[in-house]
Amino acid sequence: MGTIKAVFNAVGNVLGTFFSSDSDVMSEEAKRILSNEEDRKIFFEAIDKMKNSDSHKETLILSNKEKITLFS
Amino acid sequence: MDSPGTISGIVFIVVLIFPGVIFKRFYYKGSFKKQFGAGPFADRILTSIFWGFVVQLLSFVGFSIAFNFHYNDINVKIRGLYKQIVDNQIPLLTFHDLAYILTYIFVCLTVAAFFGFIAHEFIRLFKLDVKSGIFKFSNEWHYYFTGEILLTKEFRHLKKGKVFATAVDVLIDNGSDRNKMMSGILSQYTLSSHTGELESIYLTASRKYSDIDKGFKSVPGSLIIIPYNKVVDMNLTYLFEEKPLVNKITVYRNSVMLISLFVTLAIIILPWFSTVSFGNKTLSVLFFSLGWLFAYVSLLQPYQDEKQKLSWRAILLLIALSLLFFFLAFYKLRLIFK
Repeated sequence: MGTIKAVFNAVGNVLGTFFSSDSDVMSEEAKRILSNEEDRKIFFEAIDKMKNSDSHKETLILSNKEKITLFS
Repeated sequence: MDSPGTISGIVFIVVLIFPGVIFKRFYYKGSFKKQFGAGPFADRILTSIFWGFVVQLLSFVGFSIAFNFHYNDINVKIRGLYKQIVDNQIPLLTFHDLAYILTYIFVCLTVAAFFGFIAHEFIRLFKLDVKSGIFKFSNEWHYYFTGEILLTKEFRHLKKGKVFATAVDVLIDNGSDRNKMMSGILSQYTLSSHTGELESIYLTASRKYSDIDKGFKSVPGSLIIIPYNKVVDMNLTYLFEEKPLVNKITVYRNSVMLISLFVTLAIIILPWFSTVSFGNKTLSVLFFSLGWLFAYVSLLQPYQDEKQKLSWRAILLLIALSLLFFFLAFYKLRLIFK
């Protein structure tokens, strides 16, 4: 039963991408980070560092230990 | 009826303008949906007529192949119907004729919606609207706010990458001598439904410049809405994620999508060339579509995110379902077990 449910969820997700809007101005990863309080704080600290430094590049280590490198 | 002009007008609207409108409704979607109702009325009518003509051509060719008739077969009937209407007589239509007419109208509208949708997806998938001015949509703000503008030749000299988010610094006219500066991450924007011009921008995690503290202070709240008519200046900073723009995952996914596009068109068009009944042709298209949908989901698995990856059992089930529906489709077309 779990297999059948997983298959239909996968099909539903794919069909969802066919009809999804391309109007988002924020990436999915950004939305995910901003929805987590801890990651949000890390993200804004990184933006401040990027603005105030010459490198304009920062690596974020998120609450789930995932690393994302941003540059501007 | 008062005159043949009235009948011609109604026929013109139903046959040409309406399918063209449906095509454009599905073509201008997402960030570009406001373009559907924008522009001079005459221009909109002309483009609707043009696309309506294209849709009619495709529908007529497809319909005549599906039902094995030629224009000369229906020419006499159409002339007879027209004469009856002009002579103020109720047209003599059999149930069979009415069914054909209604089915044809349905096919026209479906073709219009389908090709409008496919045209939009094709152009956006290959970024033809960014690379070529011919296909560019009128909502320029989408290209600026998403960073897609960096792909145009005017901005080629700027840094590029996968845009993570867009940081916005705005100078706001608050009616006093000193304008107010705010910054934040752009989460949404709205356009005027009448003019298509930028109406408001929505910032999340916004901060306001404080003259007292000589620095930015956080603004409490989830979202700040700034009317664009109060904005004096706006500075966009694209935050890129360090990830190659084109890697093997992107190439693989785009290849699968491209193949899928052509397979979908073949699935929808080719069965109508067979000699089986209309019912069998329709069922074969449905079965082919389902078979390809399951095959497509299984093809995406190799480079799927860990969270969305399916188990081996689920992938085998997808392949089995795909083969089952393809088998049914070929059976309906009498290509196997004749």
